[in-house]
Amino acid sequence: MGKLIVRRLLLTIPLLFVVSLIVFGLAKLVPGDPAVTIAGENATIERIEQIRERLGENDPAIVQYGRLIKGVFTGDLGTSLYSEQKVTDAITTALPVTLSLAGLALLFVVLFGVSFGLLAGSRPGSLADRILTVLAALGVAAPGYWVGIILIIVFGLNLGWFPTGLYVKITEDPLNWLYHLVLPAFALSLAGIVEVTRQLRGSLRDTMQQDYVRTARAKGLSGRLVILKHALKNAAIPVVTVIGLQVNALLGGAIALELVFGFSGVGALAIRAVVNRDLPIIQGIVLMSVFVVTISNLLVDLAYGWLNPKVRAQ
Amino acid sequence: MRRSLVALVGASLVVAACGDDSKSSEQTTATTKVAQEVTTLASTTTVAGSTAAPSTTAAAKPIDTSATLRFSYQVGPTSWDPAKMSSSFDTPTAFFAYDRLVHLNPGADPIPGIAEKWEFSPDGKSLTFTLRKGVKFHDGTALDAEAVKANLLRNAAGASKGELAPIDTIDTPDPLTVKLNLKAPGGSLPGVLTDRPGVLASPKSFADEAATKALDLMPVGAGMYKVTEFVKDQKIVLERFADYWDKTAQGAAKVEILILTDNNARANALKSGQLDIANIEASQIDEFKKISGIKVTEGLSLSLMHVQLNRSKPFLDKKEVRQAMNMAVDRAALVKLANYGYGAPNNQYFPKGYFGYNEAISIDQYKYEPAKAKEMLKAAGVPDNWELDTVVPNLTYYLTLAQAVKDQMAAAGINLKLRPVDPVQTAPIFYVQSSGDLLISVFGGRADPAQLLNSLFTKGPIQNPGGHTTPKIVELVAKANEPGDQKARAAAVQAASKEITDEAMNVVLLHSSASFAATEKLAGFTAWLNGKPEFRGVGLTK
Repeated sequence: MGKLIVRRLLLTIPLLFVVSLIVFGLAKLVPGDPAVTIAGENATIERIEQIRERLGENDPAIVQYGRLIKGVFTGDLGTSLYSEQKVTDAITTALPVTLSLAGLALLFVVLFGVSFGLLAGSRPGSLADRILTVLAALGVAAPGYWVGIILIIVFGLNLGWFPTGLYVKITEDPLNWLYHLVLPAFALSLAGIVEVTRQLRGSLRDTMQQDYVRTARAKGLSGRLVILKHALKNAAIPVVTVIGLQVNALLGGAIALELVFGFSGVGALAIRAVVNRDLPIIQGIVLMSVFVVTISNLLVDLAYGWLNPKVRAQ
Repeated sequence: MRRSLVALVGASLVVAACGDDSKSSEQTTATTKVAQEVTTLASTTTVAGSTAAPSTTAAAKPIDTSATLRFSYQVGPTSWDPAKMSSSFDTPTAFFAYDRLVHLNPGADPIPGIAEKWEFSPDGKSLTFTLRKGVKFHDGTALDAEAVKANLLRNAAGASKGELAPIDTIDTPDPLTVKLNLKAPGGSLPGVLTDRPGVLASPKSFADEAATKALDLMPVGAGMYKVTEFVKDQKIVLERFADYWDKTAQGAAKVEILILTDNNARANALKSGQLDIANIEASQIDEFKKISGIKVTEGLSLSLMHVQLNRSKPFLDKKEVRQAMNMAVDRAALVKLANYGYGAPNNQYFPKGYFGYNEAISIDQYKYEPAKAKEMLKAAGVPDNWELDTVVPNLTYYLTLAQAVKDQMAAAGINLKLRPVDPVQTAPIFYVQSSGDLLISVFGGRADPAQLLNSLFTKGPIQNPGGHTTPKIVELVAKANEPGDQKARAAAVQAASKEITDEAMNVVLLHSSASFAATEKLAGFTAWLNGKPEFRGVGLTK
């Protein structure tokens, strides 16, 4: 197990390298000149040139890339082109917002997804199964940001049950933190819930037809015990894969919902950085995302091992 | 690894897809910098000269001086370091914490601020400010002549280089007197110093490199409120500054500013009672007017939309061609179509009610007469179906406006080839590279009208690509830059403005409206002609 973890972590190094090269290349290919923005509204050509020189924009691309990579290895991702704000500070301020949102959404995905999946999959063809199948079709068709807007209109503005957005820090007021997260997290989780429900329903239905399940039933075990103790563990493997992919999807989807709900998370930071061509910030966010995705994939692989001893043996 | 890459590509696609949203909030940035109903203006300009700013017509109920005012704006300051502030959208948030020598009144005329008075020498070669006694920065440092000198010299070497160019040296004969020695006519300076270039920070806050770096993220000003918490691009929390020189300006005990780039997020937060005031889009005005418990403040601003010409390009150097282009647009229709009827059609660079506005320029000077325009173009030798490379910032509002202009001009045989560009690329493409024949975009107001005339119509500033001008305009703009009393300066600015409209230098389309929505508890807030929300004397009733 230890070997697996170390090997997977070591694999991220070349990945980070390739990704940083792609990001740098894209940022340089896309036209844009931070110097003109920094110089302000009544700038002169000379001042723009001065700023370009100060930012090192006139150096050869390879030199600029080298500077960036050197920073990564020394643990210093640099500062924003536009302010004295450190990239690490910018990300650590924004990350809790996005992690709160994605984390709660993931909880919803697992909680509702598994519950609905069990409900539908344990009795295929039942009324509950049919209702859930129809709802799932609707849920998969509705984009998260649209659902977010509808939730704001219905539960935020018309009924007044929930705030329409604005993030509250967990350290300031944990209950209020949760209260402000419910709507966006639900909107964000919807697609994931549907995905997990459908996966679990399908795989549970297949598992329930296996011989060992029939044997368990024949032994006189209760239906609940058969499903939870015997069938679910086997049916869970594809679901774990889906949940792992959902982590990445939730982080991506959080970007749109942060905008809709006025949260200042990583998504909002990324959009600002892209619009302003703030390369150090973009680079920092991408490296962080790669790291998070790698970790979540690693956790998924570890979960496979737990669920399936055959994988562990390899 | 493949999974990670797929996720990454997915994430970047989402970023790309959301790009539009964030850009439309930039459009907010560009279009909502606005304010002032002409009728409000008429009543509020009477406070001109008074140092305690806006009139408090709404303050029938007493103001709750222990209240927290919650305000949301679409952008925070680019920097808290005055020498690095580079956007005109910095000031609505920055002026809570920073003070200036000169303030504006609601009609955008300069009035005393930290300086009690100012005077030009008879030859116009120097400008002397007399400061208020006993003014302090938030760190306790005295705001005296030396502090002002250090700040202005520093700002002049930084982001305000262009605006403060007339300043040569600064003398400080005594702690309350600051004498600016000028190397060029400085008539615009009092106006300029009401804005970013005049922002004053404690000299201790830029005494060494470490302090200067800290100043970028935390202001040390002398404003009405002192910042207690700042999270960049998210939140600014301020408390009343106990030693502020003008207690009437401080309506609230605490101020919370939330930076929300998305128009709808801002509107929703206001509707659900999480904010007291926020700026809104022209498209949202009618909706907010219908909501009980919310009042809308709306009015004309100095910000305008125009078709800017690179007059060094073929045919565009001909006056009659430019006049024909001015006759090929229906301005009133554009206001209805792109601005939901808010704002005002115009063919001069200053809005009605402003001291630069020239009554003598008729809006009918260039009536919409596409057939006549077509004839004039033909007479000038312009080929039929004349193609013009037209740069447009790639944002919904500008594209809508540009498409409407394109349709109107087509009737006069002018074929605009619209080239949508990334908004941050507009200046590099049209100004720096001098690429494109026309630019359809916003021009934000300037603190002094002479600044606008200077940057758009004289040779040198990057905002006049191609550098075309006429000797008469150069002469009139120079006169507008001369010091003088407000009346004399108004006459000079208006004369230059008239010549610019007569010469049809560009095609001015309309002046935008600035609009704000607030709870009914908000008192003392009026629309100002500079288009920016002003919070001197603003508070919440009990």
